[in-house]
Amino acid sequence: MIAKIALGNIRRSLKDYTVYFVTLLFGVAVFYAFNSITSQSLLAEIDAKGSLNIISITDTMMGIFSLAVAFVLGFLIVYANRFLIRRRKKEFGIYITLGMSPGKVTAIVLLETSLVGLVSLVLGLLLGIALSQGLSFVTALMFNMTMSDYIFVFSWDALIATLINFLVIYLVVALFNGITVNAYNLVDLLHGEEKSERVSVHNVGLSLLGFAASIVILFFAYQDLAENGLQYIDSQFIRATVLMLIGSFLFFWSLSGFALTLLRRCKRIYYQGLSLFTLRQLSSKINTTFISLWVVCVMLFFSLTTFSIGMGLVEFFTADIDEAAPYDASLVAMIDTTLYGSNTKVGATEWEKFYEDRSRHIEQIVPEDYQAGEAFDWSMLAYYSSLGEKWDDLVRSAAQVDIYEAPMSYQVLTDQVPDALKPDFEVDTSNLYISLLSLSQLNDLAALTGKPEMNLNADQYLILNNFEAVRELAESLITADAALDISGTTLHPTGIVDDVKIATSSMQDDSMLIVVPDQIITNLRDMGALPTTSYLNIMYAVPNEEGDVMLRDLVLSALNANSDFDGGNVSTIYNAAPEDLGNDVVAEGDNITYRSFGRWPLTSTRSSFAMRSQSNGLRMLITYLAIYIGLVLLIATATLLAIQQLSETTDSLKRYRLLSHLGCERRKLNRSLLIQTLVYFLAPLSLAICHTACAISTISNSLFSLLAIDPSMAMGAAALFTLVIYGGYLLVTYFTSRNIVKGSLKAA
Amino acid sequence: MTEVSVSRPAHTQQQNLDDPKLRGKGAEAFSRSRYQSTPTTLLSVRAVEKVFGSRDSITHALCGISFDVDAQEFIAIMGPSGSGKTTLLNCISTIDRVTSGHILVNNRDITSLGRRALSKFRRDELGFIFQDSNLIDTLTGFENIALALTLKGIPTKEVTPKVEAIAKTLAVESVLKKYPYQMSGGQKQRVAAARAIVADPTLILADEPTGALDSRSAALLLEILEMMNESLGATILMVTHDAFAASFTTRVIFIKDGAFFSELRRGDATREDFFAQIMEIIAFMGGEIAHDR
Repeated sequence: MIAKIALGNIRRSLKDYTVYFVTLLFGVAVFYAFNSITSQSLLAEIDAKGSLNIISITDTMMGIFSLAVAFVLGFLIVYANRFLIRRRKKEFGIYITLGMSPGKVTAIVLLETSLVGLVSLVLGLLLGIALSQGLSFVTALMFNMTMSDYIFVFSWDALIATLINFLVIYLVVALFNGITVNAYNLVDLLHGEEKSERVSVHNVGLSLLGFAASIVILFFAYQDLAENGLQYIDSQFIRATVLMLIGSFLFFWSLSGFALTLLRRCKRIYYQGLSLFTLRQLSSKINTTFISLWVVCVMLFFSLTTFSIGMGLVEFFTADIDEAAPYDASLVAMIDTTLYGSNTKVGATEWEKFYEDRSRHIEQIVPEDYQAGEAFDWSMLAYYSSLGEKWDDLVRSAAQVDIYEAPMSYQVLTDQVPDALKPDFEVDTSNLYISLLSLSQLNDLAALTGKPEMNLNADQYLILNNFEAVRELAESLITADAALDISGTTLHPTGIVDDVKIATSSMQDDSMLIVVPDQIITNLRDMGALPTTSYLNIMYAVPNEEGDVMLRDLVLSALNANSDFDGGNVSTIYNAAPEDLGNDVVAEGDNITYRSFGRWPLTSTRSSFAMRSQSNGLRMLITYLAIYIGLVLLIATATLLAIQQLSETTDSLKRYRLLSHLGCERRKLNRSLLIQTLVYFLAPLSLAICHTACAISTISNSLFSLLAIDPSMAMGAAALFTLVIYGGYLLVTYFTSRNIVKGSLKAA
Repeated sequence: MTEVSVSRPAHTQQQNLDDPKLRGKGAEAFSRSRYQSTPTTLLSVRAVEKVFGSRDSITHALCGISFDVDAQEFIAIMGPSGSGKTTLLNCISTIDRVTSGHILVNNRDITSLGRRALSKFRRDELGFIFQDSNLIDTLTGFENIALALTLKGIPTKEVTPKVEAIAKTLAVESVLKKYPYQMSGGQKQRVAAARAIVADPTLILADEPTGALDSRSAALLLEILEMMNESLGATILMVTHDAFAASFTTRVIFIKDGAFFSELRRGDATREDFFAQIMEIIAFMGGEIAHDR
């Protein structure tokens, strides 16, 4: 009997259930699909090849965000469910009046909830599984791999996580429904529909004042944000955020009062057909739900910015990996780490004394490395090629580049640039030593990747710069013809080299290296200068993956023979004070990427293959997180609005019946519904878009443009997502409320 | 009692027969013989039948009822519960469709109109006053009245003067800026009356307009309806089972079991006399109306 009633109810109120059902469906599908990402067979393959733990990072991140997502979905489902129950108060009242016990009514509701839950869970999982197949194609695309053999992806872990999550949510819903039905008075249940709404009208003067204030506050918020540049979380950023929240709140609080006052003046519009009814509907709606609209606006803003900025960052981290990692491997020896540990201002000193002091310092703290370096005249190439077979088997060609520092800061160059030519983006160059390298080593690097040779006169220098952020600064030096005085020789700039990388890395980050004629470097060496950092760039004679394994073997065995490598003592050169960095060779597990060993002949190794894997992994992680969060927030906001608009329609049925009675055509009623739905959906979206545009343009000016990121792709994708999801919900809402009204008119 | 029999057409005697079939046929003949529309006839109800239900259980709500309403008449339709008053009103107001028969307004048959034409008809030709005012609670008094004009597509310039004029006439100026929940029941009904007449409809239909009012407010509303009829020339068709309300009209049509039972014209009688006459008919009908009250 109960089952029969429950089934009948569902069938009867199928249309009412649409929004609830769609939300459950999307929720389950998205939850499953994103939790199953790490089960993709493709990733297993990548993980096996690449020496990265990106999978476990992704897994952890998805887990953390899924918890947040679970809360959002749970809230939504309870909210959507409340709408359904509210609509059916009277029905429950009748059951109870007819002598059915409240317990039985609760049982009916529970059964309905479970049935809908079960169906949506099953369908949602099917949709989720389909979606995760799609995602594995996307993954393949991101890793630049072709799906040679398609493997069906199914994740038990994701399935179990989804089941547990949604069962808990359904349990909460069931509990909520039981309590709701039991707690109602019979009178409330029977007269649930007839709740006459008191029109909440805000004072007109206050509304106008509030609206003006909101615009002013938002203006200041935008200004603060633009000044802050979204770079640091400082007091200005916090103030901008708080102002934005307050401004948006005031905006929605005063919106209807303001719009109504304005439109009532335009009698031509106001007294045109149904407009006064439509406007009053909207204004009373917005007046009672301005807090929801505010929340929706803020959530939409987060959704859009998360998505756009996330995708922008993906661009940044991964766009030019081919240019950033041109060499199969780079061995790095950071001999002089003085720079990294000290914040002392660079002052002009005696050149010889400068180099002497530094050499003595290195000799003191890492004597063995110093000895080894001196023995090979600081040539890594000489050191490694002396290893014989292991080296010869691995390496097709190799080139070393040494970076020297001059005892003066970049300020001597930037000071020569007249103010008019100075770039907008200012860099404090006063504590950065000028880095030098020789032309012949630059040409060696160029030769390694088949680039043409470059020439310099004895009084010329080149600037090697491929870091977008300081490109303008480098160009300004050329324009200003900034002269460089090195131990008596005056050099003038001739141009910028931007297509040669000093070493393989994750991005184009070589900034303002001064390329000088070989004679200059020879002079410095004569004065006792040691290279601060040396890079030995290698092109493998074997495939990359194989090469990485051989390189690791080579490096470990070489260092083992040369020092007291015991596999322990992990420390990173970036974190440790120079004094603490003894001659400990550091390695951990199987990975050698980004591991610090010592100073000479090796501090760390980088491999192109690892960089690519890392870059792709990062791209995958950020992309998926951005889509996941953006998608869930978008669904959440759209559902919230849809439910509110639908309950508004239900509450207003009496008004629609009256209008029809008075001779209003259904076409006009539908148009009024459409306008109401459109405005209700678009009002928070418009403000959110304004906020997003401000945030994105700010971050574009402060960060993206410096890093040469074009956010238009990301924004386009965000717009497309919004259009499909938000627009879809808008349409579903419109057609559902149209049907509700149509049904009510027929019944009358 | 004598007056009653005078004002009652001889044909209707036949119709008191209990056989529904005969009743229908009688009505047919009745409408053909007596009620040929004259130029002043505004509403003509001809042999209207309304059957509810399916094959198993049929309810004859209206069994071939016929009558005419001339322009500028104020008519009350009375009858006991279940006599079909409201069904009749719904059919005239085109909210419900007749099963057979015709309803002519200004010589146009409205029973064969399509959905859109019906909307247009209701909008342009009819004004409504309901038992529970049915004002839109999100609109002010002014806007509720204006709605009838804007729906009709009246030029926006004319809206404000028209609303203000009718509000003055019906003494609801003081509540124009108020929302329905801020008004008394009587005020709401007077605003509803203003809404019904503002767009200058051919016919105003009122369904138990005093049903939810106390006697003082009811009297006030009825005086206003009377005034709308006399001074503004409105034709009003009012369904009521309250003899007091009916006594304000110029003619009362009594229906019973879905058919015409009798009618009473006020003529030169005072309201008190007319009230007494109405009460007599009610007593004649078996006091069912009185029970109903």
